[in-house]
Amino acid sequence: MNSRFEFLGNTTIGQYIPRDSLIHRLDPRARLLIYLALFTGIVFTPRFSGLLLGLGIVLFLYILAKIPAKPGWQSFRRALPFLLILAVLQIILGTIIDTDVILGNVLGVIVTQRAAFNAGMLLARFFIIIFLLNGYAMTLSTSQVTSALFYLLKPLEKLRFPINDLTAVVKITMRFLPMIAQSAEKIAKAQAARGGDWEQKGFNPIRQAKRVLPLIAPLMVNSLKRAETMALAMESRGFNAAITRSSFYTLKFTLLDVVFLLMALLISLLMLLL
Amino acid sequence: MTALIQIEDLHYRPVASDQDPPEILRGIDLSIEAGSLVAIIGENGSGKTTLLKHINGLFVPTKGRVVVDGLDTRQNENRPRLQAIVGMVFQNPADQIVASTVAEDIAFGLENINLPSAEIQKRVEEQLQAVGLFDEAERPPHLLSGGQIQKVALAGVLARQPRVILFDEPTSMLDPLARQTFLQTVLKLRQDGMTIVYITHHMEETISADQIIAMQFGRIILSGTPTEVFTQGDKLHEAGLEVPGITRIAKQFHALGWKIPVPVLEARMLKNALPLYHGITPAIQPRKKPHDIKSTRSLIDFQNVHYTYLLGSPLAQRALNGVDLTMSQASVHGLAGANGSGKSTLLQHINGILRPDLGSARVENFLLDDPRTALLDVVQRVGLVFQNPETQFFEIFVGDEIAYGPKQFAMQDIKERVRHAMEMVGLGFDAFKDRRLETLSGGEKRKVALASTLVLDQDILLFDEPTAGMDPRARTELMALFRALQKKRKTLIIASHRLEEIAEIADELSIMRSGKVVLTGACGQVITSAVALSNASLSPPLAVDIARALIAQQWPIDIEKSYTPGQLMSSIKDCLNE
Repeated sequence: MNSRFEFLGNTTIGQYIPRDSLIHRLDPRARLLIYLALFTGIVFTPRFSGLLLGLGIVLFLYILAKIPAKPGWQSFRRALPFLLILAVLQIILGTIIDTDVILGNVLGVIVTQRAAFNAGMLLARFFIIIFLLNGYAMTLSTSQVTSALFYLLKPLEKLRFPINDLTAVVKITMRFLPMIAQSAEKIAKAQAARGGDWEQKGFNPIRQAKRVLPLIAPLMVNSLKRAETMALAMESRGFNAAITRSSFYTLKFTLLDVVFLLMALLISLLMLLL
Repeated sequence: MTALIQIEDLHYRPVASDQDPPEILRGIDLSIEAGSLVAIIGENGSGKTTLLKHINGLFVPTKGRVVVDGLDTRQNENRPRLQAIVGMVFQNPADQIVASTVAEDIAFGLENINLPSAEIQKRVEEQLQAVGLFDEAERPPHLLSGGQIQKVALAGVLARQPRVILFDEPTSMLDPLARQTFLQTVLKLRQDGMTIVYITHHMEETISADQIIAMQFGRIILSGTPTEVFTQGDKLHEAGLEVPGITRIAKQFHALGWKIPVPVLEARMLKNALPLYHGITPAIQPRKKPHDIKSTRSLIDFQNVHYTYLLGSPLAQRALNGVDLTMSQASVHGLAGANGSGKSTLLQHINGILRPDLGSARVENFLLDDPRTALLDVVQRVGLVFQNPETQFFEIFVGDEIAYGPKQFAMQDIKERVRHAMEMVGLGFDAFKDRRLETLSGGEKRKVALASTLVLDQDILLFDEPTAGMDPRARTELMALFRALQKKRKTLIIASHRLEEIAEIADELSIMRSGKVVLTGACGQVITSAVALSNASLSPPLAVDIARALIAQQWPIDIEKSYTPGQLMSSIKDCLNE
């Protein structure tokens, strides 16, 4: 029985699985850029064949990285109600033009072949994106993301681009998200222990919203307090955005990285143009 | 020779927009020599943390000055050097961790001084080895135990090779073993020449210090060596402080006319001075048959309960590993175990918030392994005060926070209930009901949290580490509250790793270890079973330790009836009257 209070389990962040795989061995910068390229391709590909190619490459990535598909599947299931609403909206709000083939009339809504196809594309697109993002979370640790960002942005330092601020923001966000999930969990438990209605009984978005909304203000306050302490702690450990900082990690771009990155760019381009 | 840290007439008043807030520090004069170990004690709100934050320049004096190694903290250009010299471990170390993995966090302070990556990696590895976290290097901090988090924070500070380290209540969240390890680390750092200043609520932890500073209302009221400070028991008591437990026991022995040095600060010293027993050894009374808990219908019955957090994810963590436990009605039941042994998880099973993955669990007539058992029904009978409950507030005003539960259950006379609950914990209804929660002191917040559970008047009450972070006076008040609840025939289950406190109140005691209950029985029996305690990384209460030493000196003491200081004294008096 999975607890209804495990908010932490519902966040994709921190799901990194250290594995000895080809993908994990790539330079974090290459990995970050590969995911970015594939993401762009899948989001913007206009055709079904492009999505098929996207699905194929994501599948290939999962096999290469030796990561499980279950978390992706779980995320998809959680998002499904919202995606279905989007898909229905797509059908309801779609304009009908003369050349459209009408499939039928459901509860007064005319469903055209094109609208149905678009709704299907939307579902498929999100399906692949969710798997891609889960793959990203399982193969790139948050520290790899920040160090990749640090080195990718380093050349901009000369242009007075605030890279220290930016990487610190990313780093602390990554640190805070699980902390906020834990805080939410604690407050929810405290309410439940005093008679708050936290029992999951079927799918009822209004009740769910009624439960979650009162958590937002205390969570904000808690996070702000934490942020205040953390700012002091950072200062006492010598953090100063205005000075030059170094990085714990040294990254090395190899030929393999170049090959994978080029492949990803090529596939992404194919998806967009196919 | 001038001292490394020189504080002269330090006053501090926080900057506020509207009116003049009261001064937090009111004229502190203090000098700390290089290489010394200084302990700061004082009630919550006496200004300890504020003083500490002046030493590394996070706060700047409103009046007076603080000079560290010739650097005046008021001058901004001194900041970077000051931060390099002085490192600080904050009260809640989790708030100090910046990065998402242990190794990377230790590196953070080194990245800030722009060290080359190779040097950072070398120092991080050294620190990981030194604190024993090499295997956790890649773990995310939010999944570490309290003791581990603190080690990360310390490693992050030590990697920068400071000359002074400041600790703010470093041991409040640690279990006995972790606390011992920590104190040893501190002593080792001092040996290596580090200057250390630390805040604590536990007097036992100050006896190795070179200097103790006792604070009250923003002033230093006492300062000196442990011997000098702990001979002033009355003055400490006035300031809401106390002498170490061993000193109190020794004083009572002294009053018996025994030749005991004054003051005694260490158990070893007292044990060496214990007299040999010369009276007649009374015939050993046949021991009463220990009462069998299972004879009456039990209140709580757990069989083979398993629970895993984040089940099915890569971060899954097993917390309960086959718990068997029975408890009887209207008793005070202690639940002892090291951090991570599963106490909190077990408590959350008893009030139905978590449900077993496997096994059967019954509380009163509720079958908790049955998903149809409604949580709302269970919590009406079983109340739970979480660990650090003040982090879980969600309302704005005190009154609303306490009234939340009664409102959920649509109870009658909510106002009267709230008033009653507030009076029970010692908060005036009219003075506090409209106060904003964030304006309360730490101690007051804890009371609000207690009241917000007590207001529901459940028959079974669970407490998770209730004394963590409390000063001595607050601990005494809480013990009195427990006794009041006990008189009302409530069933109390108190989880704690401080056996001294459990011993004062519990009838029955269970020991937990790696997700299992390894021993349950009458408090006197369990608390004196040395093997079970040490296997569970717990240390026996002081009284038990002394009782054993007395028995070694031929004293005919029944150790199972002498596990608190009070009981020990009456056992001794019984012997003397023989």
